[in-house]
Amino acid sequence: MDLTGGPFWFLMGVVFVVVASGFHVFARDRGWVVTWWKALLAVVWYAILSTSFFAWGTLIGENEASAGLKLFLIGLFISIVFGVALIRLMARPAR
Amino acid sequence: MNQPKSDRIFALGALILIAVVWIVSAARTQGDLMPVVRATIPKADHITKQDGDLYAAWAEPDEADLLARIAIGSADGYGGPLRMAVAVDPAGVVIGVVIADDKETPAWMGRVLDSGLLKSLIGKSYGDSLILGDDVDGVTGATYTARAMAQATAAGGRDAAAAFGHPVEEPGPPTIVFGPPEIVLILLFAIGFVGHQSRFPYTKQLRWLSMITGLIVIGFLYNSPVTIAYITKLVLGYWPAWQTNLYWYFLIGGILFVFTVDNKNPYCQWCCPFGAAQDCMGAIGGAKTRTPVRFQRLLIWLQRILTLAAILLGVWFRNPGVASYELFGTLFEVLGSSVQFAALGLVLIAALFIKRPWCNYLCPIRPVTDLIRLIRQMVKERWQQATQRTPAA
Repeated sequence: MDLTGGPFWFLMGVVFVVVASGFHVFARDRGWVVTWWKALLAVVWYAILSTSFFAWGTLIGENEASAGLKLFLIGLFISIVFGVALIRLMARPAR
Repeated sequence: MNQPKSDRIFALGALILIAVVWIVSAARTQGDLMPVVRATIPKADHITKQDGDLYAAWAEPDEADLLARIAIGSADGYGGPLRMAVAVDPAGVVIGVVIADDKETPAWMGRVLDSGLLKSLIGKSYGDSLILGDDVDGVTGATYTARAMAQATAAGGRDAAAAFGHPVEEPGPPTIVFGPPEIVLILLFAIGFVGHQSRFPYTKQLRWLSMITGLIVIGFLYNSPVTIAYITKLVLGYWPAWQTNLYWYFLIGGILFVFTVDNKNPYCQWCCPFGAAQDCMGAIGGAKTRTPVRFQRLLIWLQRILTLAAILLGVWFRNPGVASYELFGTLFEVLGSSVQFAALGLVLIAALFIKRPWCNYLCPIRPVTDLIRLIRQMVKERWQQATQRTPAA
């Protein structure tokens, strides 16, 4: 069975649903009001983080592990900065 | 503000220590240049030393066939004098160049060497001006080092050609370099001066304007922030030609001038690009000053000792580049080792939560500005004591 094809993306879909549900509960517990654009930004953040991992894995497969690690670290850095900004934005009371 | 007595004792002790290390390191004899000279022309049978920094390379043991003359040319690099051994054949063509001595930061030097600049100098005539961007390709991000190499080669080439009897024209004084970085720097100091006025209502906005401009221009465009290497260079007495280094004289002179007149730091909080980068991160993460009160003095002292150690190392090895441990080039030129990139990542992530972690705990410029402030106050006190003792006329 080719794990890099359909099953992989099926698994990614499952993970996304779990993460999104978790985020929903997390936001409700904290009393955040998640508007549609805040949710969109959260999806963008998740996409950046996931892509960093995907790029790393892809480049390892291409025998470019070092370049993959660098790209992953850059993506991780952007995700951390963006994530911190996003949390502060989420915690802001809605007008 | 009165500084504690310990600060004054430390400052005095540090200055004495730097002076002692300076004298001891200056007394060390210079290394033998012969291996470097030999490397310029490996096919030579043997090399003889002639006058001063001039050598002759012979093809045979009987010294009947003169292959080349080799001269040591010198020019101002980023970290201090850079010397090149230049071999010139009887026709006045450069046939070999080797770096004899340099004070450059290793990362910049590596960039220049990787660019193939040395190879491109081979085959040039002694009469060529060897100006970057003209008859020699420049090296992005290492302009000072590349320019010094080209100029030192031109100087060595002229000396060697003159020894062959070629007519050599001595170059005139260097052209004054005054352009966008100098203009922006003067404007930033002017903005800082206006912003420091207590009655000015838009200090915060003006400070951000100044910081962002500094980040873009001093940081990303020109990568020319104040570094400990530059301060060590001045301590060592490597004062570069003012015509080509107006920017640095404006920067150091401007800081000293504003401190003397106003007792305000016009650089760190107003136009330091690395400080601006941390401020931007802090604005994203809502950074706060988080120094525990009981560790405050300890952290200040650690920063001072780190700075003193860096300066002493630079002075001892008479190489300002050795002293440099800042991460400026790593951020603004994306150039550095894995450790430097890891440290940069840590500093920037920490800056999301802690206000200016680099400036507050690691930057060597803060202890230097503290020292300037301390000396200013001591001079002022002496001056006041002297005028009080003098009876009014």
